[in-house]
Amino acid sequence: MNATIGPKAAKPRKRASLERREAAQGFMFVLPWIIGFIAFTGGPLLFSLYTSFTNYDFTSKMDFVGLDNYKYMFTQDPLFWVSLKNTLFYVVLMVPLTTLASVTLASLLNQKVPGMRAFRTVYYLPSVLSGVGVYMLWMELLSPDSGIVNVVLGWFGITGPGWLFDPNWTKPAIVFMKMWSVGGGMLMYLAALQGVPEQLYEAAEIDGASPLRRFWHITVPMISPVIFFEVVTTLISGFQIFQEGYVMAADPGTPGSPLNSLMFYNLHMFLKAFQAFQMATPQRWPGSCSQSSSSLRSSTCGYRNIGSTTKEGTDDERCGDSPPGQLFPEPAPARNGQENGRVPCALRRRAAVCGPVLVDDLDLAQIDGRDYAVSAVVFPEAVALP
Amino acid sequence: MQYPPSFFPKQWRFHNYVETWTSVDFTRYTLNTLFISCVGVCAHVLSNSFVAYGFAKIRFPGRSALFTIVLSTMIIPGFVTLIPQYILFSKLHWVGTYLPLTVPGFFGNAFQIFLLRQFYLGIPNDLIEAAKIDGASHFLIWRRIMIPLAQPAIVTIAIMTFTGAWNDFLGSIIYLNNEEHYTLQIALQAFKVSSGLNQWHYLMAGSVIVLVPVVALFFIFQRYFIEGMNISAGTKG
Repeated sequence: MNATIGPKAAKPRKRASLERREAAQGFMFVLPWIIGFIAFTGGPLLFSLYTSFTNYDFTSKMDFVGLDNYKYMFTQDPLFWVSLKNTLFYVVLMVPLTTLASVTLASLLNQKVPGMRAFRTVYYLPSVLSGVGVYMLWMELLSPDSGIVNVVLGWFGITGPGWLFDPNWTKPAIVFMKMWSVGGGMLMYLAALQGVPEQLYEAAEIDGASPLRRFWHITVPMISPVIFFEVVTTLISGFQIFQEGYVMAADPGTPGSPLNSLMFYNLHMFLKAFQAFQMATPQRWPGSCSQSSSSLRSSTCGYRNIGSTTKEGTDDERCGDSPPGQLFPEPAPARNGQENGRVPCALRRRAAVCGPVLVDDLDLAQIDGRDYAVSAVVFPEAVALP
Repeated sequence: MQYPPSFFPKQWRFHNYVETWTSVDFTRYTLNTLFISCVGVCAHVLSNSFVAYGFAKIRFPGRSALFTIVLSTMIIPGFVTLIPQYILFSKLHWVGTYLPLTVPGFFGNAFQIFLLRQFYLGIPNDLIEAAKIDGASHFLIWRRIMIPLAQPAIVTIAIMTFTGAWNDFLGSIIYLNNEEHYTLQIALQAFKVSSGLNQWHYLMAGSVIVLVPVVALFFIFQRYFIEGMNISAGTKG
């Protein structure tokens, strides 16, 4: 180093330039996130805010309309309050229950018992599983007649509810399923519990505190920051519930069924934006789906029309089209499980709606045209299997 | 079907799996999903470990303010930005490709940045000082010191990303509209819609096929997983 030779004034300047270089490198490291924030979070947020005051429909117009959208949402949209209520109901039920369950589970798994590692693994495993596969397993478990949950309840002389087929029980059913996957929160609590000093418990034990008191007066205060973090993240994720309402609907073709009891806020938003005409391109309208290059769109056309069934409609009546202007079908009557396997009807419905799709009830592989319903063509043989 | 169903089947039908697999182009959907998941893992590991290093170990003005913004973005529900993002990607003509599902991964994820930063904070600064004296740049320090030492946390975020991408339903159903590009999750949902609710044996076989890779991955890496999730460990350092 030539700092000893050089004049004293050079030292601060050199440090300043070093600091500047360091700062520049720091910015370089966080730059990807800054770009991502502007492009995928901050920008879209501002765009959302601005568009909420316009009549934007994704294609051409974007005129300022003031508070009209909000007025429509609060006063006219039939499903806004329903979906909000459903979501709130679910969150209010789910957050305390899962928090309680994961804290309890974590304290139980914090005991020093041989084989605890295996237990931890077993309880954690469900939280990495999610998606359609798990929902389908749970639909089977919660099946009103043959599901294992109701069978077990039957052993104790309890007639189990209809779960996903009873509008009053759909949300509790989903909360019940969520209780199964509390492992993620449990792991956070477990890590926090292991950081609680052992002496505190020993001291309390000497003073004669019961296990419950020790838990309440030592464990809970010591892990409260993690509880706070977990409650906040669970709340956020709870308000974002979407997929359960889409996949676990009693009628596979009507998201949110039965009776819109699983119509959550985000599901409502998704359907409005991506399947109804608000913020959708014209080719997604039922009449013109054959021009669309997307098979998914055709299938969603099908979805839109499935709900518009009459209460006592025959199979063919159920296949009828609903007027394009109808955003959301009237709530479909709750049905039992046996009636739901009407695939040919669903296909015929889609064929009727989505253009050149020839569907034979017996031989579903004979579907013609490029623009077919997703389920019809992706899985032709699956439907026709013996 | 027997009623009520017995717990132990009288007869095992492994053929259900074969029939399910062949009835649908499961091979293609598996490869598609695998592709998205693997690109996602690479993207997230690279970007988040990079950004987290900047937040954990380099001093620069505005660092704590920026990090506060990172944390606050965790609170923003993804659904708020869903529609504008869709519009953005459709203007870029990315809808119908894998780009909307993979590219954002290269720009960091708040929770994973947070997780990795906590882990990095527990790594002693002496190592970085020593490397600096030897003339290493921050980039070299990140690549040669931080990544190897933060292995448990990196494996954790890799698995989180993989399972997240593997189980992703919303993104796939919005952005993929070509049947050839479908992922397992859409395929399974479509399978369910198409076969109704009385083909349970095939539906369950399909579910198991979709779930098995995640379970396998979990058992292979679970040692890292439980270690890396410990966010409070890093704060002690």
